[in-house]
Amino acid sequence: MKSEYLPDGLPTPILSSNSFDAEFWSGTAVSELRIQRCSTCCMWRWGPEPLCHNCHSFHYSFEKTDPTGVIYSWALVSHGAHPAFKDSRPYYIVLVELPEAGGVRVVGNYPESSSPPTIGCCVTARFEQRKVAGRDAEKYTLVQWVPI
Amino acid sequence: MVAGIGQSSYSRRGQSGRDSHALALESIVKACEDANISPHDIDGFSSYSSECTDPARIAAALGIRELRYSGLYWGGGGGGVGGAFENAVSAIASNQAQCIVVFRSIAQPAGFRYGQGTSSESVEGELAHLAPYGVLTPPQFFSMKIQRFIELNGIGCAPMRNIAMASYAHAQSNPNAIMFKKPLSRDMYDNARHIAGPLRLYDCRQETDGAAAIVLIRADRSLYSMNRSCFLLSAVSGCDGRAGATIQNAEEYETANFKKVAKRLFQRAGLQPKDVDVIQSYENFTGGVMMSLIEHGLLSVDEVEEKLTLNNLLAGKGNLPLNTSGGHLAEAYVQGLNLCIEAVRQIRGTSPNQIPNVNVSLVTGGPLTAPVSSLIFCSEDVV
Repeated sequence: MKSEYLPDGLPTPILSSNSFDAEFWSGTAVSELRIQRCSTCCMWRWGPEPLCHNCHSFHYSFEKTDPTGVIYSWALVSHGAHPAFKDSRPYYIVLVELPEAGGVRVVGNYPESSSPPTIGCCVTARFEQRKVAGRDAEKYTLVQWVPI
Repeated sequence: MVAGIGQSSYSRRGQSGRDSHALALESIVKACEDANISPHDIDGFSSYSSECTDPARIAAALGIRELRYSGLYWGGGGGGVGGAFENAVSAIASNQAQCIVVFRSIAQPAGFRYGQGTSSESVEGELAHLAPYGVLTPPQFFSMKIQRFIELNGIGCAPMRNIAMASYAHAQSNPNAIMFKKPLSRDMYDNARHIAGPLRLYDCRQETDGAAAIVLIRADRSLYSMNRSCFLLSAVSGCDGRAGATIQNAEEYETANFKKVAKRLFQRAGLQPKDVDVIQSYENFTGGVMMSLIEHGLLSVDEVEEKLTLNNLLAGKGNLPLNTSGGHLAEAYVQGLNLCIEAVRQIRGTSPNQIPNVNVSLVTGGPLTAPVSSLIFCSEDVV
């Protein structure tokens, strides 16, 4: 099957080292799922924030976690609302809960679309490398989810 | 109390021929005419969301004597519609100002649409974790919340269809509604294209240009009109403290975010959900309306199929008359302020689909966003 699930032309994530979540993207580039974790009270958190909402510590790290999860919710998107989807087919978006990372959730796609996902089904990450349109040397890696 | 209501003409997106400043002025002058006051007497403005008109410029254009209050309630979409009233009431109660206009004006410029994804080539922050996966617009953001709610509760598509059909049915009696003389049949709903998740075309609000304004003053018995006076009994905003956790990480996920707000709304009003006579419930998406009604205690999850029938949502027929001027789906999308005007008309007895003897008129604003807000307008019999 085609290795890239969505068409070219969608907005690309900014990966500069100044961006707050750079370590998440440097992790996906080496097929690792790294989620933010408080260095003081060890609570996982997502999306990225400068401080822990539990203990208010500003110390944190991005920690490698098991790239398996559970479908928390999903949708089949028929109206992409972006020129990149002009001629493309409907696509699945999924919200995946990560039990090994304190139950935080990440958003991705569901490329194995022979049948729709259901809430509660187990999935594992598939790291999908993409090129930045017009600048082929620049790459970024998305995290997609497939059934186990 | 509500001194006056005013609205501009409503038109489809980009077709008003005027900017939001001009539309706002039309609605404000009409609200002053309705209140029988001069626009010179206004001394404050309150709005919300991405309102881009400037209060000092509006004040100058109206020639008011002194601007004493201008407030913008935080938050996107229409979650802040009740918050704008809450702010205005606080300002009047604390004598900062005496005559405040709450208004919202929308004229989408060419090339911009609420329903179109970002045109940026690159994105950062929360959007960097959504947009590359094709999660770009409100129906995509919210469809997964609605999906989880209906999947876990075993809810079919009929309740959402009935909410859409009720709005369209009511718009057929409202000549100011965009969808006047454009009824929606069950087949049209069922055969419409899918948008995202359980949402089809007619589950999503239209995009329109228009403005609406309500003049608020301190309640004073000497000012009660010969017609039925209308009072703002309760306006409450907020959400769970973690509702805004990014990338869909709110601890309470499948909620319209009204659970805490609705409780405070009724407490402050000294009323219960069963006291509500008519409902205007903000439609960004019909699924959000269904969740709003449940979280305001108007029905339980188990009663969804039984109570969200088309007949039960229609003025003059059902027990839960909903969006009686056509709502956002079929009247216009002024991000909740046109719903507030209809709620006031129901108290005054001037709705295009009037319910007899309305004393308690509920508005719920901007479900699924955070913060959200709700209002209760009431008649003199209640205060």
